[in-house]
Amino acid sequence: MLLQLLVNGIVLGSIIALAAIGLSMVYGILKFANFAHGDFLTFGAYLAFVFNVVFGFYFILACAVSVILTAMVGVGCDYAIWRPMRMKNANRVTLIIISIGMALFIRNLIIFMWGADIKRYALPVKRGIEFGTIIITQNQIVEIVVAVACMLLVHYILKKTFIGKAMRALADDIDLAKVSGIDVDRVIRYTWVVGMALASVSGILYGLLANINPNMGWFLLLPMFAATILGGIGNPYGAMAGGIMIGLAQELSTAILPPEYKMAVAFAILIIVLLLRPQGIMGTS
Amino acid sequence: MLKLIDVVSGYTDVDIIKGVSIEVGKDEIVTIIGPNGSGKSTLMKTIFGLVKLRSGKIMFRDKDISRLRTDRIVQAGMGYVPQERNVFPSLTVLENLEMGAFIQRDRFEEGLEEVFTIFPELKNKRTQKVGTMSGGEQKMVAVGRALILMPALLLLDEPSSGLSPKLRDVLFNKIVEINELGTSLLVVEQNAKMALSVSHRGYVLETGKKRFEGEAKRLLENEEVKRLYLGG
Ligand SMILES: Nc1ncnc2c1ncn2[C@@H]1O[C@H](COP(=O)(O)OP(=O)(O)O)[C@@H](O)[C@H]1O
Ligand SMILES: [Mg+2]
Repeated sequence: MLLQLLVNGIVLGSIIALAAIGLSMVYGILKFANFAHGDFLTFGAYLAFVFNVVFGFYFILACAVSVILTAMVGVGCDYAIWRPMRMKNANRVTLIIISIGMALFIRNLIIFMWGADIKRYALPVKRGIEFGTIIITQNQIVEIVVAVACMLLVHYILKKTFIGKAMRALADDIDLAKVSGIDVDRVIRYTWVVGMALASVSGILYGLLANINPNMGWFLLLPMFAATILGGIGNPYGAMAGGIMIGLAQELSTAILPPEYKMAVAFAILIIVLLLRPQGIMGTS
Repeated sequence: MLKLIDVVSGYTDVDIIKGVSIEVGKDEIVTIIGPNGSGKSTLMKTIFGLVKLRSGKIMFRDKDISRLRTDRIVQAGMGYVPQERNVFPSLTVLENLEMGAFIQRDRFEEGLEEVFTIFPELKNKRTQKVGTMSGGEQKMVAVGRALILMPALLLLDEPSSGLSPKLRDVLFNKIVEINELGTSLLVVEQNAKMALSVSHRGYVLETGKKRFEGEAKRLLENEEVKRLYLGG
């Protein structure tokens, strides 16, 4: 029983982790909490659904199209909204309010286009594999493999590529980045690409785990924020660790609490971390 | 090399720099001294496009850079080490230096060699996180980052602040060394005497206006400058 919850927790946690990476990176560089991040996750899940079910693409191909399009929309939003706001030196509150508006817009657009009912991908239902007392579904295995691969890719980008190192430099000090000759707008666009692509992957994986509905990303936003803050806001590695921990805590809590309290668990962790260690588990004061 | 003509600038609607004209010639070291809050840092930020230029003109290598974006100014051949927050603390030494070469990555290896010639101390600390280094070492990284593309002109804002007297001497020797390798320098310094002693020319800035200018030797001998700005 506990072992099963552990497995479920790691699966859920790795999905939260992928989404939290983008949220945290955007916060680290642009210094605002992007409330639209969850709805971009939903958007990614729906795009994959549309290409898979409506247009009849192979699931993998539909996913690839969704990841690319979601990333492109992220870059488009930067050109259309975030960059003009940066040039006007808009404050954080303005940016947060814009992102909330964007979140509502995306969600209602999804409901308008595809309705409010639950959707599923056109995939055959496969039986879970039994390992002693626990059952692991093939989807769960795929989800963990994909999530780990994405995290390794993020690690590679941040540590080995020029643009990734520049992302870390921007998070350290955006003014010094400008002074160093870094084209910060370009680096920010790449940050959106990484963040939005991961949001799309995360949305697709969550759609596989549960189902696709217009509120899926919105409901994941709180655990995502909790993961981001737990890991030290702005720190993508912290977001990964924080995501796994939140997922584990949420699933393990069902051993003693009714499952409706999962969200409350994420919220409680968020509050406790903010009170006791606001810099996060990985942050330095 | 660099020519400021009647530069006026400021953060809010108050002018901090009130019509300053200065010049840095080829192969020169020029020092700006002046009391705290006189606008020395603001002037440097204005040159680098970080503070809005209200009026006047900034020419660099016969090109008008008055309204150029900061990264374009770097591209034009200028480097800048701000007074504070001048390193990326969570990046390694090598990564900090790489960031200085963002706009011309093909010149990184060549520049790295040059930086290691000037600061051999950094050579075996390549993979150390800069946030964990001493103030003196961080300063070397900061200057190294600005030097990596071998700029024609380097702006240094109070490079000796926070350094021990011994490291200060080392740093001024490095400034001369950098200059001998073909980079002009514009330096802002609290240690006015020391800075002027290695400079060719100097300016005194007070409340956003130029008060004195001339050969560094002359400024060091000028009775009024001595009394007011060099501590007697
Ligand atoms: N970021 C800022 N915003 C508003 N005013 C500033 C800012 N930085 C400096 N100032 C003001 O500009 C004036 C000049 O400061 P500064 O250029 O830092 O002087 P210095 O470098 O000569 O000590 C001071 O009165 C200071 O209060
Ligand atoms: Mg200053």
